[in-house]
Amino acid sequence: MKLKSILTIALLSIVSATYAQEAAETPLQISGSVDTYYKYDFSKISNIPTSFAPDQNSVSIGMIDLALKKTTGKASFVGELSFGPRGQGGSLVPEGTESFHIQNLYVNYAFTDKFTMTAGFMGTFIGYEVISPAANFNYSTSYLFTNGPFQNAGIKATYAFSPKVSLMVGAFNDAWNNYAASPKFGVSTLGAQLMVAPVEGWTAYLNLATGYVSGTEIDLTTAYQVTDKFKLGLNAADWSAGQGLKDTGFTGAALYPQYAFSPAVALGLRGEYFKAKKNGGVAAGPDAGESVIGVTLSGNLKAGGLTFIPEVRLDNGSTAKFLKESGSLTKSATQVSLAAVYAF
Amino acid sequence: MNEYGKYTFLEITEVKSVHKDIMAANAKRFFKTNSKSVKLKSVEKDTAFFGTGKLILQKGIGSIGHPSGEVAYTIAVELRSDKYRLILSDFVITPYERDRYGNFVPTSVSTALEKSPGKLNRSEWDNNMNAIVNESNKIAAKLKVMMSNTQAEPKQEVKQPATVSTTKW
Repeated sequence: MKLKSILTIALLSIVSATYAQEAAETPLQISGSVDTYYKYDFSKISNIPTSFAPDQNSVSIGMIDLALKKTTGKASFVGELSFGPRGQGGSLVPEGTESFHIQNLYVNYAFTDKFTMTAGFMGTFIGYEVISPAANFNYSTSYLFTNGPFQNAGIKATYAFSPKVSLMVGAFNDAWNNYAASPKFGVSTLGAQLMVAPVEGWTAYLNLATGYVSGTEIDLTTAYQVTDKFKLGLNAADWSAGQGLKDTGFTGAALYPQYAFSPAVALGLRGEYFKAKKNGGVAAGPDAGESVIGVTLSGNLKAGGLTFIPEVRLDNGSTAKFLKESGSLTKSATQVSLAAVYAF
Repeated sequence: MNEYGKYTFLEITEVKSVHKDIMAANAKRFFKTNSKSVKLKSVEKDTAFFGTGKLILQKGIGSIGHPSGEVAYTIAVELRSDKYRLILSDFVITPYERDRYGNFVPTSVSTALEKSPGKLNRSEWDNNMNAIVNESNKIAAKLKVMMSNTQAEPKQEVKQPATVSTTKW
């Protein structure tokens, strides 16, 4: 009995010590966000095909997003789940009744401080905007975001030559946003990202994803914190559809000037030009061969974890694409919205 | 705050039984032992050691939460006969944001601790200040342990697990 007690105490001591050590170095990280919004389109019809915030004249929900991260030594994982319309119909390939969406589910191993490998389902490396509203300045999303990839499943290796230059090369599943590849085409998309940070506050990412099914997207995403108050972002991309389709895809660019009046108050503009190629192929946006210019003015008012995003957006197409209240077509559409995003 | 209007953590500690040369060696060992969080930048005549440091702010309760920012600061360890003083100052906060992969990374804007947070972000600033005070106390405690060493070349203590007798029971 005494032996059993001693062993139990010894075992408990080891577990406690190990736990204390690991907990001090790498506690389980829990983070996420919650968002809700109200939108009003002046034509009284939801007109602008932004990825999220589709509901007209309604106080609606975005999603609750929950992310877990744990690091043990050189190994780590991230699991991020979202529940709600923003995480479901907005970004998930519909599979019957939608319930939730996986934003990130991957494991990572840092072989050295400079070289890491990652495998799983990851937020895409392409583009300026992301699904999580907590990481975007504007609440509505750009055409470039809506028509580009949201996630890529695959395996990638990243090597940091220095803090100013790194290169990622990966093999990804045949199509974007899918948890699994089709057996026929498998892991057939090549992805690469060159990151350079020429000066402090300026980072630029040159991205490439190319494959028979996914097509070829070349993307430049860059942001420069010019002063403490002024930040300038740029996203330019060209996508050519795969599977032998010609003159199908899009080209576009968006500029993001943002000015912070204080740490709690900022104003930002997004000016975007987006053009569908001759034979179309755009999931949400102008018709084949046509273009649209979108101008979005957003405020960010922060109080602790809460951010209010009042926003005005005006889109103007090269042809009459939007609907008036009467049902007739018009070239332009205007909407206002107010979103509240809480990040924790 | 110090005379230049900067938030400053200042602690003067007496170490009467430690020779001045050993104090200098102790100070160097402090920077070497804690090289992940403090970097020694310059030394003046083995009586003043200047460096920089970084601490991580956490948001959450207990061990559940995530890093919310980092604080850069300057550190000075100055030696006199039978005493030393620790000065931590120039605290600059860089908030973290979550990137597309679920990792927390520094934003591109840093703010001095002295800058008024405004009414809306006062509670967050208070939390940061409390965390900085706590971490400063921990740094001071680590330095105190190191500076109280009286040996020129102290042997590192190796903790052995408790021995359990299996013959007597």
